Amino acid sequence: MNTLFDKFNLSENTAVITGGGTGLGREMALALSRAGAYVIIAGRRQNPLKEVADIIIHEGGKCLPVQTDVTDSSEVNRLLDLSIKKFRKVDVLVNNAGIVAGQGGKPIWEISDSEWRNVIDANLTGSFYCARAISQHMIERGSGKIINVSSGFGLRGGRDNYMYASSKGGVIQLTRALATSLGRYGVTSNCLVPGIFRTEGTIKSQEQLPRAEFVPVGRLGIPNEIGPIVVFLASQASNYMNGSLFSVDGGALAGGYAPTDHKPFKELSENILLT
Amino acid sequence: MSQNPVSTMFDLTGKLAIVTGNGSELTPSISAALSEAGAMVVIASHIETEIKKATVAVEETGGTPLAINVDLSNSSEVEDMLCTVLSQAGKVDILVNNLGIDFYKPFVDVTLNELNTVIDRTLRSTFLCSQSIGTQMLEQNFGRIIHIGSGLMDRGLPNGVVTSSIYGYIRQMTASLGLEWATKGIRVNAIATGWMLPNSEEIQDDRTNIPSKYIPLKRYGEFSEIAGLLVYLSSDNSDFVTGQVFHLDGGLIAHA
Ligand SMILES: NC(=O)c1ccc[n+]([C@@H]2O[C@H](COP(=O)([O-])OP(=O)(O)OC[C@H]3O[C@@H](n4cnc5c(N)ncnc54)[C@H](OP(=O)(O)O)[C@@H]3O)[C@@H](O)[C@H]2O)c1
Repeated sequence: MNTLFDKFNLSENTAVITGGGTGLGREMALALSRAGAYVIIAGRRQNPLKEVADIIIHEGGKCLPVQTDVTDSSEVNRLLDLSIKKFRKVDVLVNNAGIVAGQGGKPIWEISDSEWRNVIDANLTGSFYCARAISQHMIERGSGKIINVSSGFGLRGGRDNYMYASSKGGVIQLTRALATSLGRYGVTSNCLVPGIFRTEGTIKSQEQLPRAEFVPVGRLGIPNEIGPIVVFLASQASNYMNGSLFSVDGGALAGGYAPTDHKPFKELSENILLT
Repeated sequence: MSQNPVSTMFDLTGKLAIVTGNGSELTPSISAALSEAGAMVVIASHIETEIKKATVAVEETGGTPLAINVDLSNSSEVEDMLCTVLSQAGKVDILVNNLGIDFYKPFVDVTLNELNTVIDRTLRSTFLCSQSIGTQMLEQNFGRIIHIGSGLMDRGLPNGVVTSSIYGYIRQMTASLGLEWATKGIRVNAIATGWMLPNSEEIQDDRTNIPSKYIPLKRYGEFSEIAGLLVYLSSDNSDFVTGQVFHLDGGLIAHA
């Protein structure tokens, strides 16, 4: 732990990434492994998990895929027990699993009880279950890093976006509760706030999402751009960050995607001069 | 450079960084972190002791800084500084506006003179450096501007009306300038620091009960702990990050 780059190194660390088979979670798993960590990836479908595990093992890393539904607390407990058994410890938990597709496009009166619960359970309750299952292990070791994954919709609203925005707002508050409760034991919690990245999840609901031209930097995020940030948040280099939001959104939260009835922001401010 | 594969994620080799200072205790740590990550560092301040300390800190990492004594509130001095840097390095990749100030006083007692001094040293200097160095960055189609702020970017404080107002300006400058230059390859972000001390010895020797009372992590930060975030925001890998304030405070801002 001497040089700056050593502080980013994750050798001997174990990281659990939920939703690690696809999209952002896949890139997180790859980046954490390349930084030296052993990774456990969890999701409901076996195939994507296996594909990522194969890549990591082929690259010389260690990866354990564990089929898990994060909405089932007994499966979550099993996931974390297995991880500890296999690698003796868990240093990092990334609560990335979530339902992204199919958001918006429906008025509130058409949303059924189960549609509401499905998203809240996957995005918010799943993160709570995982954090609960690992908290005592991390406290006993006096160290640990919990990285939650919210969204710009966790801080701002969007038309007909009910359960996604509510669940992601909840994830931010879960982060703050964890940070202010577990910090004293050396366990830090932070929250990634991604903007719009092209993934399996977002491709399915593209018509409900702002297009590249509405993102201030003029493009969508590329999933592997999430890698270095997660490595930073998982490493000793971020030890004094706790309860922080980490936005990666091409400037979206600084301004907005479409403040005036879906017109690009630029048109608004370009020609207003002080006379 | 290190053999570590993560070094490629955060490597600043070949980058030119200007670190401005206004007597901040963080200046040596900021300068050293950028140098350790591989950047060539320029230290720009009007305070000789600050320049000396930062120079030593950079030298300890094996770097050779360029130290420039400059009044950053004076536009022609800022232009001259930029000319000197350009004549030696031909470009500026990173600007760290490290121009915070500690000034606390009951509002009714603040004199206009004090207000003007604070504004010159912080707001005016940040404006001038960002405008002149930003113009160079626009030509390059690349740049990283990082403001060093504090929790007062998001919270108020009695007797801190002037200081927190300045931080509010820096916060909004981060957002608006980040947007204005979003398509020009320039990223503008801020680091909001909490309570930090120079090193682990001072943290251990501290007899106040500030950390146990206020900081969820129950400890002060060490100055060197700014390095990771600073280097990430300075790197090519932060291209999708702009207009944001990142809190580095052990959980202070998360607490109610
Ligand atoms: N992409 C973006 O633009 C964006 C923006 C903001 C926030 N985010 C957040 O980033 C995270 C990843 O999203 P993504 O874009 O990468 O989408 P994605 O490719 O659809 O990834 C979601 C992952 O979560 C897993 N998952 C869903 N429900 C689960 C459950 N009940 N139990 C276990 N795993 C479950 C999925 O695997 P299975 O289906 O196999 O279970 C999938 O691997 C999400 O939390 C999302 O809200 C993404």
